[in-house]
Amino acid sequence: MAQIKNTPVFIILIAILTACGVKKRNLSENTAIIHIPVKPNGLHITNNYSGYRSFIFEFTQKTLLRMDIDSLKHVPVLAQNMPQISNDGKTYTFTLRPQAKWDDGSSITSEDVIFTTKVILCPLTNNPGVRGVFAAAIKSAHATDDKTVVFEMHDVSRNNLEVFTEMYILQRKFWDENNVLNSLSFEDLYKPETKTNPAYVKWFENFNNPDNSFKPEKLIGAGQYKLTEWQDESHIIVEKKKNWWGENIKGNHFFNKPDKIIFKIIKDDGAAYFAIKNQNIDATNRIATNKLIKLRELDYFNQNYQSAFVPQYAYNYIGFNCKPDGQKHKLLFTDKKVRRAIAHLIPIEDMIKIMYKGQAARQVSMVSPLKKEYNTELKLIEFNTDKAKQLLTEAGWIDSDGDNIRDKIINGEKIKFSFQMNYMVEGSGTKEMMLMIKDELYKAGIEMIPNPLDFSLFFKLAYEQDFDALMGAWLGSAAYEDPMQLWHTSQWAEKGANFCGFGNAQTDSLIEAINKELDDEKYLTLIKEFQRLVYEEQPYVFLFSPHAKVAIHKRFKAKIYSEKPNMLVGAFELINYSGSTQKPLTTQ
Amino acid sequence: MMLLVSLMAFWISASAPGDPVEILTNSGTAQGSSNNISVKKDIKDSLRNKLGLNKPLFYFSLNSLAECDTLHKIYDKLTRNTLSRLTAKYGNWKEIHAYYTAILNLQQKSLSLSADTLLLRCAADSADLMQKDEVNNSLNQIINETNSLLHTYEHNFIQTKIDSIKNIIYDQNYLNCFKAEADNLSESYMQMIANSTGWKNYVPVVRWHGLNSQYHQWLKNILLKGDFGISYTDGQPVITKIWNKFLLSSRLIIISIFLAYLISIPIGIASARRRGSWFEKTTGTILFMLYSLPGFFAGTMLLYWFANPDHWVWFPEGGSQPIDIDLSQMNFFERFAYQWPYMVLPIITYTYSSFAFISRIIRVSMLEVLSQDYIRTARAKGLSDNRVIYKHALRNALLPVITLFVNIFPAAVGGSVILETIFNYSGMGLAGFDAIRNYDYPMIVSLFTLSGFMTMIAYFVADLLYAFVDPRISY
Amino acid sequence: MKKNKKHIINTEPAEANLFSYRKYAFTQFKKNKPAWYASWLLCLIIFIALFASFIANDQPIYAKYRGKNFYPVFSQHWLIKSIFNTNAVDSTINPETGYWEKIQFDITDWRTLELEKVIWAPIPYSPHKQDIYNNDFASPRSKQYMKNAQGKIVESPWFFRHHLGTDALGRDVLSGLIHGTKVSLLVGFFSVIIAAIIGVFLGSMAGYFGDNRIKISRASFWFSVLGIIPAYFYAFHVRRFVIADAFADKIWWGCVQLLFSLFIFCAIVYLFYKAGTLLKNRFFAKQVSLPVDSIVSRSIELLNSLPRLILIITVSAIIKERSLLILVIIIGFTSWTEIARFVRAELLKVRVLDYITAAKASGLSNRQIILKHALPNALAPVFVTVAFGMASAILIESGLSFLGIGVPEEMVTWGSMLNAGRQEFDAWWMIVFPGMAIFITITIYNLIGEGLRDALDPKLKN
Repeated sequence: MAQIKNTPVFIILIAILTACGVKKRNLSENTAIIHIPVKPNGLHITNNYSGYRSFIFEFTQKTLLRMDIDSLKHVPVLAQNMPQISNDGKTYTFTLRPQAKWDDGSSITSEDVIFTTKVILCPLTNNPGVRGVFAAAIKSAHATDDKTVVFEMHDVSRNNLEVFTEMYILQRKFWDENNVLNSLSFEDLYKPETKTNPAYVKWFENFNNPDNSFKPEKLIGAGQYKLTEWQDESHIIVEKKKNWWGENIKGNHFFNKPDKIIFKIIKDDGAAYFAIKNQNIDATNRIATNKLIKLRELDYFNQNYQSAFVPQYAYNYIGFNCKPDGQKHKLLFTDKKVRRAIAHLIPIEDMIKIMYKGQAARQVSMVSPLKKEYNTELKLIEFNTDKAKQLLTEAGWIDSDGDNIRDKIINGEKIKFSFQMNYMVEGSGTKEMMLMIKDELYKAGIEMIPNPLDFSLFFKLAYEQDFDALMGAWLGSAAYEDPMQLWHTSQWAEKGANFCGFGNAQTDSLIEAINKELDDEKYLTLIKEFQRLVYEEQPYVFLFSPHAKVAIHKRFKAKIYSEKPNMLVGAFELINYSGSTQKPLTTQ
Repeated sequence: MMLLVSLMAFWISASAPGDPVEILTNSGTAQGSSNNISVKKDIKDSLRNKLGLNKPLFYFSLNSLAECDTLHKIYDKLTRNTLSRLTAKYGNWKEIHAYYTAILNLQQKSLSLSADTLLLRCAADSADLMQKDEVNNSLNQIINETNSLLHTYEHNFIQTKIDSIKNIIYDQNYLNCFKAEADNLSESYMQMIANSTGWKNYVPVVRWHGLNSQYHQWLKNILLKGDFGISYTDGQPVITKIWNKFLLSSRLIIISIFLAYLISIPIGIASARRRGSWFEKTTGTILFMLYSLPGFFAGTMLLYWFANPDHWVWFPEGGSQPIDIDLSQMNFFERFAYQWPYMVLPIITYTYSSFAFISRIIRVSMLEVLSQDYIRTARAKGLSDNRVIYKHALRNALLPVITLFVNIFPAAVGGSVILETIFNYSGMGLAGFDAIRNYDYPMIVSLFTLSGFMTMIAYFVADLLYAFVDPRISY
Repeated sequence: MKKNKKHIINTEPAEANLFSYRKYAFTQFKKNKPAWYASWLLCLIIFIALFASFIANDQPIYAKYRGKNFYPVFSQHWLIKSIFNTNAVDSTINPETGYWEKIQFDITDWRTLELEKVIWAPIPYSPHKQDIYNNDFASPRSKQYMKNAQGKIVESPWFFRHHLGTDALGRDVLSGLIHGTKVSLLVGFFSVIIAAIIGVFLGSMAGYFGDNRIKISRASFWFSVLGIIPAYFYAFHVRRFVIADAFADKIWWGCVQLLFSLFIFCAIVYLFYKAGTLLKNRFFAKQVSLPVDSIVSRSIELLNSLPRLILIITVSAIIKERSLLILVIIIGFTSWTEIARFVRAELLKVRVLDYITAAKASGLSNRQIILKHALPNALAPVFVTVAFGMASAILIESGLSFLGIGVPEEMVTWGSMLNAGRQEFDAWWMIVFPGMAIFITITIYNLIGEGLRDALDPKLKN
């Protein structure tokens, strides 16, 4: 009897004892574990374009040019040198590196580059989100010899060089063994016959297959690492290639020091915090602000990790529907006085202080203050409830029925100033910020109802222009940012990214002028003027730019950069590291 | 039974909001230019064909006479809604269709013409910059109004929208070429109102679609090919995505239910034997408290104490196996040794509540059995206590516990959503939670069906155990 | 004569027994000390929930300011508001400037006013009120600050401390716990009421009628089945936009419309049924039995075979709108199976007893027999299941808000507090206190359920 009674106790004891011997991670191994908060929605070389894709492609794929994380200038990668630009600025000639090779040993030729260009431009490719950018810049490409490619551009534009940094080169032999696309010329691309040609349709159907976004054997590229494993929601592993062609080339895009890089997907802030505490992650740039602040208070964290808050090119904003249909969404924000009033009511300073612990910077326009294009003459809009109330009253919004919410008679209909603000559930602290805003708006007699949505639905409603107001964020880069996508009226009419409906003829022509202006001096005045116009209209309340939160384990010699992804994982150099303490010092 | 479950699951996925094709074609982040819109439509159409979404939903449908039986071929959910609302109001599908095509014509035309061509066409002598912008502006306005017409069904709003389109077109010279379409539009709308046949809405019609329906296709794929469709988030087959997770989860659940029975049976018996003793009272209280302790609270506390560097790091903070060690080369036991630490905390959380539950039940049923006459007879015959209990009483006392198995099992599957979220254990529950947050209905549906399936197995196992314990029942 | 007879039946032994049985059960329940104390604790919790806004509120119960009396908490209460038409706004004259100044009760920080007399609520914080001086998880033991009437930031006196700490925005945990009782109790009570109505109805139908007690003519049967199609068409298909619009407008209005549709549905099916009885042909008039029991039992099995939590999460994901009402309805509609099973089993036992047969022989209708004679004796296990059902409804609600689905975002519930605590492990007070609150409430319900079971089923007692 006693025996039977004790068995379970024994089992639990044994279980716990064996578990106590949990194998700690061997910190002397040359494997870097990088934290990413969401899994990429696919790693298709042309068809997926989430932010984390480029982080991983940095290791597995190569482009002709790339923005250098250190100097913030374009540098050649697959190209031998920077392209030669013809005098009219419309022809770009690239020479490929002679040593560049695919995994099967064949060298990377101009044929591959032209093939890639065709695929990216072809309307049959399922990349509607980015194709426009390429199609607006590149007209055609042809080869003069095996290693030389000439690109014809549509126009002189600041964007032209940019497109080459995002064009990951595909291996023609791997993707198109029978050379189906050879017969497809650049002129034919947009012809309706192409869309119905069964050979092309079949090829592109294969090419667009979701398998090409996930299966490791399909995710090959010219990079120094090879994707070997993708465990759906858990992690992605890339391993160093042996005898890679670029090993001896100098430059930030050619490092391959860690033997293996594991991208660990941890969605939960709390879990990421623990993982770092337990040294299960070597580097992150996506930990929550308050978590990093907490970590930095710990001795053993500082002993094991280097960390920093770095200003970055990104901003959070509140956008208003400036051109609502008037039925489903009332005419609340058509008056710029109202938009300005709201801007006065958002407690941005408090939000930075409370949610970001001061680790965020304010900005007044869509251009990052880190850039020289930033218009420094525009003043920050201060938090001022009284001024906001006054503006609202001026705009005709008064509380006529004593329910503490303002109202106004528009087209004979009494409308309460009550609206829904959409926001994404992902991301820490957004809910709290929403509640802070709600409180302050209520004090001025405006009712705001937070409406949490998940990522895809949030953007769907935004592009459908089916919202009153929304809180979102844009991630930028040090490179040139084309204002076309976010601010041109055509992007509103075609349900593009200008979902707020900003713009008029004046701003449109200004945007076009900015894009074509190559002279730096004139360009600066134009873009500053454009910022002033946006500031006046206030279609967005520009909230702040949160700092990137970076932590890197000290067992690697590494540097923290301000441009995303804030680190060069390829250059992580394992050093003989003795300071590692697995347990916190306090409990030893 | 399975059919009913699957029917319910299918109904959920069909009535779910969100359009899978929109999600699959990345339109969430699309920033297309005008020539992209038609192309995007092509891609979407081919995808729809592939997914079979252009078929009717079920074997038959019940509609009114007014409704068109091919409405499901209009893909945009909002447009479809608009059209069916208009039908419900006016009941004349022919006219409504004419109105719909009039809108589409106008839309097509306004999209196909750029400001430049318009200017060229009217050969304006002073096509300076401002005028071009003006043209652009009014063109944009037309596009937008037409687009929103597709989503409007209230009479007043339609009227104002049509009027404003006409106003713009008649105001500007250079928009002459739109006149025909705009007139056609307002004409067809007038027709629609004038020839309203509302009565048709009150005549029911049953239409038979036969085997050419989405449900049939879906069921056929599952039964014949084991194909649950593709996940909306990444286009991967659901079955490959879910299978590993299913194994991971069921491993947890089976181990913990096994443990729960293993622990609870002796405890239940012991506390029944020593009625009124100190042992019975304390175990009774502890079990009762464990029984009331919510799993997510206990799980969080366990994590707080045993996977937190501020206290003890006995167990990993989450996940299902170490990621920096390659486990695929190892044999089962080696692999299990690595995975075990990740399973301990979830198993404890799973186990404690069910074992508290089970041992209380065992105690009660044991008491009941012990008061039966035949036990008294056995005792009176001078059999030893152990013999009486294990030989005679236990079997009968176990019967209600076996019935419980059928309840515990679905509860554990459902509970896995919360527990796997806490421990970040990438099993079925976490997958389900993610799927729900992303509105990935094929995943949800297969999760649904799988858990129904698992419960069926549980019923079966319970029946077998019954037969084993109670010799009177035989199959 | 007939009336008289009925009267006699009503006071037959069953009734008399029931009376003494109740008394007996009550004394038994009272003897069970834990359960007895638990029911008092439950009363306390109900009291807290009812008077939550008087117990924890950042507005004073009474205040005198610039010579004027204010009763902010009272004006906030919806009941008082609707009866006396009080306004949450008032004005005073600023003695310095001589102008009227508006005071809107809910956004005024009363602590910064120089009040002449004041009676605060025992816990001077509201669950939603953000305290910018104590944000970012102020610990119960750490220094806490507040702005006083002189406009200075000073360390909070004991009364104004957050005794159980705050969350990221400085919202008071204790106040959240107190107001959270409302949510828990509401969800518990109403979802179980829904479940009980459905469960008792279906269970008694299944148990009493079984598979072969309802006999209708073959024609009626097939007519009714046929009638389902037009009934569905006119009740739901034709009215689908009316219902959808009503739901979009107000949820309760949608429910009313839905009930109306249900009524139409039943009416049409009934019409068809009646039409069927008109056929007197020999073949059509043949009696067939309606398998009520099988239908109910199968649907119980169906619901039971689906994990309840997954079902609820899925349904609430589809409905998308987050509201307490919807949550209550969903939980109610998925948890009736247990009650139905018990009622069915009880009625199966009861229906063959002598007194039911006697009642039947005396010509009482089925409805009367079920309601007056069969059900009351079968209700004992229902009470037990209801008590346990409340516990599990509360558990499900808190589990859902723990996952961040179900209840509206800004609503402070125990589960959502616990979820916030999970994100921030250093704030142990965000885990421990809400967790304990859930634990205690569930324990109370379970104790009561246990006590009821022991009291109502004396067989188990000894």
